[in-house]
Amino acid sequence: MLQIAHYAYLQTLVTIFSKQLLDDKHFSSLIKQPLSEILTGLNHSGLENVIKELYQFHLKPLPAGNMDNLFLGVFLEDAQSIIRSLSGVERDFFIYWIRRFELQNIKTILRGKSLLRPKEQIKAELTPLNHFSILPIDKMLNTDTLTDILILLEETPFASIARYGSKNFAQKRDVFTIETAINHQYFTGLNEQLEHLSNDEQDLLQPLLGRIIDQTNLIWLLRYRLFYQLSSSHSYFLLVSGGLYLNSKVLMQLSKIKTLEQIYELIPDEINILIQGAESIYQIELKLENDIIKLAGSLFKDKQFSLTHAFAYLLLREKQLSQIHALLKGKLLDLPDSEISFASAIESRALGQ
Amino acid sequence: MKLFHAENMQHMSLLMRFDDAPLASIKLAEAKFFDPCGINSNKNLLPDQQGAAYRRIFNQSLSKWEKINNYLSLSNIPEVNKIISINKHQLAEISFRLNEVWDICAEHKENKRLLELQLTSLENLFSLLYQFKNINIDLSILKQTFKLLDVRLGVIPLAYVSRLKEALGIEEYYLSVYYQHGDSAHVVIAGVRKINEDILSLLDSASFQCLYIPEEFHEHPKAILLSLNNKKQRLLQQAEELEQSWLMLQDHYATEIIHLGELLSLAEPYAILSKKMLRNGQLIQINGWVPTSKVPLIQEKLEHDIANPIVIETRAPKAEEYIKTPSYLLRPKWLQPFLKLVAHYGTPGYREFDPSWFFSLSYILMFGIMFGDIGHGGCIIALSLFIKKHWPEYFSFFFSIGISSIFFGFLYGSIFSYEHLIPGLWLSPMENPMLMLKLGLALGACFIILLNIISIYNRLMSLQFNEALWNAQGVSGLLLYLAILWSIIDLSREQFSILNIWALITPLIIIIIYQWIKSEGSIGERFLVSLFEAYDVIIANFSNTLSFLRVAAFALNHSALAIALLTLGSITEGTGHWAIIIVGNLFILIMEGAIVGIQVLRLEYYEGFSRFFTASGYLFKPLELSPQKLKMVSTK
Repeated sequence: MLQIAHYAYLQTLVTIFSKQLLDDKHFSSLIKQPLSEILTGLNHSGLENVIKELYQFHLKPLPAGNMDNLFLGVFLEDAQSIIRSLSGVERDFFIYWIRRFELQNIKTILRGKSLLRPKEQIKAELTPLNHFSILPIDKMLNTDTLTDILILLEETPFASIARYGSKNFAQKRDVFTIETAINHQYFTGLNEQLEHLSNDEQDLLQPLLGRIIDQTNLIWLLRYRLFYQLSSSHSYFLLVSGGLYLNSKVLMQLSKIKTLEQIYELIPDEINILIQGAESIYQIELKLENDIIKLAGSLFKDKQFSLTHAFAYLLLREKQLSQIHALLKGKLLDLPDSEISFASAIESRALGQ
Repeated sequence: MKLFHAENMQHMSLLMRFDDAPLASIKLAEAKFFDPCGINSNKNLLPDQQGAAYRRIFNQSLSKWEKINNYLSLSNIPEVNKIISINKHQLAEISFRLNEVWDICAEHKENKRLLELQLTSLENLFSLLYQFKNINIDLSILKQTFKLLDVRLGVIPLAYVSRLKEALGIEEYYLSVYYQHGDSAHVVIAGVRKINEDILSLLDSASFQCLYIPEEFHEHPKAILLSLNNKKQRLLQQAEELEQSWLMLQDHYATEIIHLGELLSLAEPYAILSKKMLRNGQLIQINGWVPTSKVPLIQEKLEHDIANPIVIETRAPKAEEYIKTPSYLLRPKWLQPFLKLVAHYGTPGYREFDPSWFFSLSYILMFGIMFGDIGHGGCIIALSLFIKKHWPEYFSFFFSIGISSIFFGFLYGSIFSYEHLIPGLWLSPMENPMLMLKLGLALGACFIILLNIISIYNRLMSLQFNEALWNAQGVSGLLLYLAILWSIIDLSREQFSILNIWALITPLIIIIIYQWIKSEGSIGERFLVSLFEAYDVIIANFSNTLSFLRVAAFALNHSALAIALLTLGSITEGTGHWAIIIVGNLFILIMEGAIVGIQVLRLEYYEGFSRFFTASGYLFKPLELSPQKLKMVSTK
């Protein structure tokens, strides 16, 4: 009863927002329709700004980056409304989750600076985060060295990320080490944020976050081992704890693989079933992501009046916005429906990951 | 003593044998009334070049003397007991001796520095060793390189320990934490040495920083600790010995260094004078300024103490030399704090009106008018008694403004803001504010008339007769100001007539014509300059007079604050009432007192000094024997 009273406003807000979500059937039917009819069908999806902008450009492709930023803006508006209704550790948890977009900006600046690109070019590639932005972007762009950027980060909530990043950078002086430190620190911090929540919420969110960490760990591990050719021990060290099925023992075993096929022999059954048939890291990632979305969908339905309900909504909304983004982009470029259908399914990475 | 300008000065020229110059310098310094100058009236004499060497040796010696004095912490100040002249050869000997002593002190200082370095380094070793306290093996083992075993010591972030341990486990390495500090962990890792460098990239990612084991650590930590403690004891013993030897140095050289300081103070006057000496062969000329009343004293000193003949010529400063003539101001002791305020604005020129008396009396008067209260004045006097003990030079300032405040307090009938306890000898400002404002304006008018007269006097003294007569700050300006005052009075009486108009126009036209003649440029420019000058004179006269309204305004303000305070106090009774009265009076005393003090100063500076005081002079600084104030002499 207390739980219901506590989350009454949040529940109402998320229920109103959830009207913007399209069911799979509706979305599939949109793929076959012409662009103008799709836009009419999206009238109640909270995409008024996007539709208005498309009409202003006479239904022609928008300049590079514009579309991405419009969709991200839609998502951030929803997130901001939800965050505004929260307080304390719950609010901190959601803000921390949204901050992963800012991590992308940090990486973009670090990469740009390491390649000595002009600051205007780097700035054009940054994701505008409006109220969520806390980085001193201009100061960072005006620095001369990567070390200076890390010093600036010390003044922000990314201080720990900067601290570990700079230690690694001081050792090896390449951007890859900073990026791995940033990823590692972010997920370590996410686990800490989760621990601050009430036990009930932790129990509800753990499976979902555990799967997200499993997916992240597995994909990173495959990339480190098969693309970057890192040693088993090094690859294992760069992974994070807090996974649901992939615990330390399993990850240690997995870190010894030399081919993609070996993974099926070592991975727990719960994940093995999910990734069966995948022939590339890309497909594995997609399959795991679909599983996460499926779980988010069921939590959204079953766990009303909870923080998990709102968190699941944000995952679903982000996924669907990515799909619509891919759909509109495909239509604007006159791509065949089959390709749009494929792109819509995998485009979920577009927003932030 | 001249009340309103500096003492009369004489330019003194001394011609003597070159050998007598050092002694003459000391005699002049001893007399304390000779301010050397570089005026060269004899073309046969040239600046003395040899003095530069004397000054250089003097400065070097003084520098060494100060260093020794500082290093040995000598507190005794040298005093001149016996007057002797110091020639270049003797000064070189002093310098040589000071160099010898400084070399000894410098060696001692260097030994002390090296010992302190060793102690600091030892302390670092102690803190390093503390990190190894949990390792129970001979530390030299950790420094060795083994063929099959790979052992490393390093620091990693505490947060990485667990995962790095697991990751190293994959490579069959072992990790152990032996020391934790903040968010860092000191670890030792060991494993079977491998050919590939996988372990290195892993350690890089874990921010592993290799630890250096100092040379001294080649035993078991406990044995190292013992050895470090022994070493520390030895160093402390050496430090004690050095301290003892320092005390011996201090004891051994104190008297000699003080004596050398005395000799340097005897050399200083010649070092200063040698810059301005003129020479022809064996003859030396020294020029300077001497107060007229002290000329016989100087003559007697030189003629009595110098064996060889010496030619002394004195003359009054020429008009064109006034600007170079120092101002010797003899003022009573109680005026000194006021003089500091005048000096903050500047020093009067040699023939310029010295505003010290005028400033002091007008300051005291205006402060009293603006802050008249028997109680507050009494507090200021009490404060002055406290100040007398700690800063006696400021006593007369506070005492005199306190007296003035009490005097006007009696006139207003005000005591600690109560205006009904004693009957006022005159009236309380709030009883007739309009009268107070009129009196404020009248005071301003008198003040400005007086300032104009001083301004005319200054111009006459500096022989600027045209400026004194026709300028806006001269007679014409004064007449114009008087005409303005007369016209305002006649206007208020409705008696304004053609005579008033003539009285206004005549000086104004004179000022415009004079400005026209004085200015340069095209006709248009001169016309504009003259017109603006006339406009400025009228506006400045008005605004300066109105500024004095603040004198009355602050007197009213003081009364108004008193009324406000008593009204507040009447809200409560007993302790509360008295608390309000005491705190309120303190507030008035501190805040209003400070504001009034600043406002009077502002009136003096901006409405007063700016009208007549050029402050273009410089103070008379005679040559002195001052062992307490020894300073370097410019070699340029």
